[in-house]
Amino acid sequence: MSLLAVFGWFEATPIGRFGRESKVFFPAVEVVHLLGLTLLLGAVLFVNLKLLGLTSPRRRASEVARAARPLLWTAAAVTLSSGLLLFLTEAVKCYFNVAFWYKMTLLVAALGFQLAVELRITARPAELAHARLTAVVSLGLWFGVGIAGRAIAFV
Amino acid sequence: MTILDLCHRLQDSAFGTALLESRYWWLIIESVHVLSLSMSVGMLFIADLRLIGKFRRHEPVSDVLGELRPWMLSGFALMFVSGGLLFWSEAATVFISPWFKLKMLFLALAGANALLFEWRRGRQPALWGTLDLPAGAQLAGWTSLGCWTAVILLGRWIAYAHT
Repeated sequence: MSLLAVFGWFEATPIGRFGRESKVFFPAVEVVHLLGLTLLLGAVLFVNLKLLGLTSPRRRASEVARAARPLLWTAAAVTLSSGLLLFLTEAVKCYFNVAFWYKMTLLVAALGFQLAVELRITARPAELAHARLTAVVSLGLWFGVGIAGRAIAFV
Repeated sequence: MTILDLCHRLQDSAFGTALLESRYWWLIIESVHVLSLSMSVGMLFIADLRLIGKFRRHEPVSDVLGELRPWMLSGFALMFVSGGLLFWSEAATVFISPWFKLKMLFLALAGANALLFEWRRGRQPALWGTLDLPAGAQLAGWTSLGCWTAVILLGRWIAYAHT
C-alpha cells in the first residue's frame, strides 16, 4: 500500500468525509487550531525569552520553563488534535503540497527538541547549559512550523 | 464623503493596489500578521491567565505583567502595522463585511478593557503585589480572554466569508 493510498484512506474516514461535506467544520476547527497556535507559540516565546536572558532576571530558566510546561503542552495538545482533524479532511491535497512536508518535518523536530529540553530540565533542574543556543533552535523550529503551515495555503 | 468612499479611495490608491497585486508581499505581510499573534495575544493570554489565577499564581502580578509588557506591546505594534497594511489593500472589500465590523467592535472592547485595567491599576498600586486578585481584576482577565478569542475568530471568518 503506497503512502498516497494511506492518505486516501485518511480522507475516506467518516470524520474526513464529514469535514468535507460540512460548510462550517473546517473554518471552525481552523479557528481552534489558530487559537491553540497563538497560545502555544506564546508559551514557546515566553520560555525562550527567558533562556535568552531577556525576561525574569530574578528567576532561573528551569523554573520559568517548568512553570510554562502545563500551558505549553495543553496548547500543543489543542493545536495537534485540531490539526489532525484538518488533515483528515484534506489528506490527499496535503500529500501533494510541498509546504505540508516541510511543516511535518519541522513539527517532529520541534516536538522532539521540546521533549529533550523538558527531560533535561527535569533531570538537572539547577541550570540549563547552552541556554541561548537552546532558545534559538527552539524558536527557529517552532516558528518554522508556523511559517510552513501558513505556506500550505499559498503553494 | 462616507467611510465607505474613504475605504474605496484607500483600496484604489497606488499603494493599496500595488500591495494587493504583489501577491508575494501580501502573503508575507499576512503571515507576519498571523504569526505575530503569538507575541501579542499569546503573551497577553499568559498575562490574563495570571489575572484569573490559573498561571504563576504564586508570583506577584506586577512581576508577571511587567516582564511581559514590552514584548506584548512590540507584538501588538507588529500586529497593528501588518493589519493596517492588509486593510489598506482591501479596505472597501472588508469594510462591507459584517464580520469585519464585529471584529473592530471586539477590538475596541478589548482596548477599552485594557485601558480601564491600566487606569485602575495605576490608582491602586498596593493591590498588585498580592497573590489573589480582587474580582474586578479577574473580570478584566476574563474579558480580555473573551474579546481576543472573538477577534481571532472573526478575523479568520472575514477571509472565509469573502472567498
